[in-house]
Amino acid sequence: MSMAEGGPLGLRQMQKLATRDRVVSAARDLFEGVGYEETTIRMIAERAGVSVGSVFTTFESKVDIFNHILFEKFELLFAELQRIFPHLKGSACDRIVSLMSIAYGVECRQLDLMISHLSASHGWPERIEAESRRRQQRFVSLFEQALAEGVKSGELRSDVDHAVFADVLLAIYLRNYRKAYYERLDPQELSALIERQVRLIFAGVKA
Amino acid sequence: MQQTPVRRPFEPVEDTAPQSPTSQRLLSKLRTRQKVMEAARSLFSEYGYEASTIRDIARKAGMSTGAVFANFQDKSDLFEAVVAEDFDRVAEVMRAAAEGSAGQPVAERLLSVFGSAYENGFTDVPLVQAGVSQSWVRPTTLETRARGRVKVLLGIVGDVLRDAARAGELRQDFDVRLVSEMLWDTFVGNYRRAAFDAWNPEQLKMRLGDQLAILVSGLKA
Repeated sequence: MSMAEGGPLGLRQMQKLATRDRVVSAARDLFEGVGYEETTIRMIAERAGVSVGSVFTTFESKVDIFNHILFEKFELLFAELQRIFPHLKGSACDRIVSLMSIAYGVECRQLDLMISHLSASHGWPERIEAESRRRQQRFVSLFEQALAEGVKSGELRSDVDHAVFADVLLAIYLRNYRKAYYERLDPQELSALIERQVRLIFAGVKA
Repeated sequence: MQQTPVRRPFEPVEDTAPQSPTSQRLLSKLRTRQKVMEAARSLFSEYGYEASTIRDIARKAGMSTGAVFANFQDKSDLFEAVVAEDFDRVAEVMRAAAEGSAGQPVAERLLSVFGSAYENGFTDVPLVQAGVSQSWVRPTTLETRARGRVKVLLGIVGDVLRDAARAGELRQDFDVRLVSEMLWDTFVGNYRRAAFDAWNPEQLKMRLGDQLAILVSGLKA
């Protein structure tokens, strides 16, 4: 679909885009409200006021709608992190804690969606996992950048495998959402927790 | 508890007194339960939690859905029973690994404890994935009981850490529970590699070794 080819969008394309928007927004409400597993395509169609058939002409399956929502959500978060990153002061450790704290603040606004995401991520198809990892890698690349700058400034040892290090950070960052969900920790409490955890991990790589 | 009478070798063994109807009923109930759990385990592993139904499980076990419900309240109850069985086994292998590695450096001990879970404990990767997926969205009562099971394993890990602190290998002042949980999170996180990248237990263990080295070096005395 290209604007250059046919000038302004044709009526049919406009309708298609409008349907897509309605499907996505209905799906977002349902995934957040009743959860990913419990939501059916039929429910999405009903809420969007379109036929089940037209849901399937815009998306291949439920998980693709979900993936689209996660993609949009990630782009917003990542743009925010990228904008703030150059302004973050302090050590590599401080900067990584700040990145994670900002992410907790953003994700906790739609915690149920995040929880649905984390739950679904253990059973979704490989193509979705591949896309999800590309997004995650962009997030993690900010950690790696902070680590590289920490090595350059002499704060961190140079012999640490940044990929493994970032892997540990990410695993712990993600698992903390369990505490947000089951123990109702708010973003401030999550930040305090991740700060303790990240400091502990960093203690081993100080130069 | 009843005392087991001491028997001399080669003494004729009259095994048990004729079984009362109650104990026979109990035995057959246990057998049914076991059959249901086996069927459930294989379906949960093959199709995941959501896609497996009580009807399918009953059919696979060769009994009615009524017979399944006589033993389990619902699907989540059945899933929990299957998972609990695995946790019991994992606790055993982890405990054995902790004992078997006594005296070794803490990173090696932790690796053999968690490695034993990769190798001989949680070995059905799709079932683990189904369990982790469920662990994000279960009701609080189930979550509380699940934490009890994880706590047993974390206790084994915590003992290894405390041994190392006592031996002067690690600092005295770190939060054992926090560190045990971080190790557990890392251990669980690696199953994603097993599921999507077909890593075998050996590869999981190698990655965990690298991760452990980082985590533990921050605790060195």
